[in-house]
Amino acid sequence: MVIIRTADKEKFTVDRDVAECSVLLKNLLEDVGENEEEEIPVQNINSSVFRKVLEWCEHHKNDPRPASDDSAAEESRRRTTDISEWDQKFIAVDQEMLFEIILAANYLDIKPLLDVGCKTVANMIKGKTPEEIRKLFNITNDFTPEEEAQIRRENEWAEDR
Amino acid sequence: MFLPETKILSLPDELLVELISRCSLEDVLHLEATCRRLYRLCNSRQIWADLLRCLDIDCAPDVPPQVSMESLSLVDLREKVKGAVMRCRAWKSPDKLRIFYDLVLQVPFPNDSDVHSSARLLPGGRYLLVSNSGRLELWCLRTLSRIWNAPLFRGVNQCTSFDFELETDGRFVTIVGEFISPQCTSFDFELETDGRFVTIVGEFISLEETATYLRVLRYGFGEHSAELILHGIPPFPLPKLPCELDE
Repeated sequence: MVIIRTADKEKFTVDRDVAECSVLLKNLLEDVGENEEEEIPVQNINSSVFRKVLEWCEHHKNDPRPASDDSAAEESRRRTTDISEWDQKFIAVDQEMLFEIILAANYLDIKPLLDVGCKTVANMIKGKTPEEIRKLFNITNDFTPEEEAQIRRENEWAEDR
Repeated sequence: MFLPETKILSLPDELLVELISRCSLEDVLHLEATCRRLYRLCNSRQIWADLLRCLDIDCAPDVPPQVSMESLSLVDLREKVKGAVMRCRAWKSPDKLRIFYDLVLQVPFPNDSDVHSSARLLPGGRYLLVSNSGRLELWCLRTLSRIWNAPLFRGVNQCTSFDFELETDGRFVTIVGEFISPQCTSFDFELETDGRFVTIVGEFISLEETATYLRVLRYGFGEHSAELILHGIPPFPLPKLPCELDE
């Protein structure tokens, strides 16, 4: 077991193999060695998000670890937006939590979780018009009308089929 | 501790790029139209090289095998993706076929020759190599202007036929022109190993008075000029371009 302290000072006692889903924690734990008393701080993550991330790690702790530079597999996976049923249920959260999970997965270096998060956002974007995407994510349109018209003109070819 | 609400645009650039890289072509085009920041991030070489790579079996992008994807600019990559999608679409339903370019080139015809004219588009679709009444000219389709013409040969323009090949990364075009009397019944040439060798294959009839000259010119798009690499009366012993690595 290892003790991890989040940004809001909450302490989590975690199985070592669960914590090691995170490459960052795995490396930190290697430095710490067998000294189990030592607390590992994760500065950028709040307890609510970390609890969620741990839930994912707990479920996926026995998955084979992704090879660090398996670029061919990476390539083929990238544009497919399939997410396993468990992950879909797991990631059915509000937008704020979703982006927090993505940030946490990136910080903790948990590639498969980052992938699930990014694919989920990609699925939310899928098939939506620019205006619908802006509304969904509360994005302010900062183009001038001329710029907007030009982009629309340049991308017309993709709409027409 | 107060934390501002985390929104999509609170993510750092690298993570937004991760997101974009999981979107389809259509969605990337929609995303880039939402705001300036996403427009900038959608327009990276990495994103478009990935999109092009994903297309390669279904749509067969028009990238010559000797051109590495790494040498293509963002503009090129976008054009290749667009071209591949459009070709694939046209192929599946020919009624959607449409004319990409409808250009009128004002090509002035010189009066000193009655040799026929012909034109061929260089791979990539940006330049047109024209044999204009016997004068070899290179036209740029973007500016609709002539960017180069071959120097006169013995005071006249008498190119009767030509062939060309783009080299390695499209920075040079090597042109073989046949001049004066058309005694060569056919010829072709091959560039070998990155344009370091040229092999000319042709059938030539030798007459005493007149002769067919073959001239090999190499035009550099960066230098905006051509050098005459070789000229003479065939048959040559298989000619070779000057090259540093020649053994």
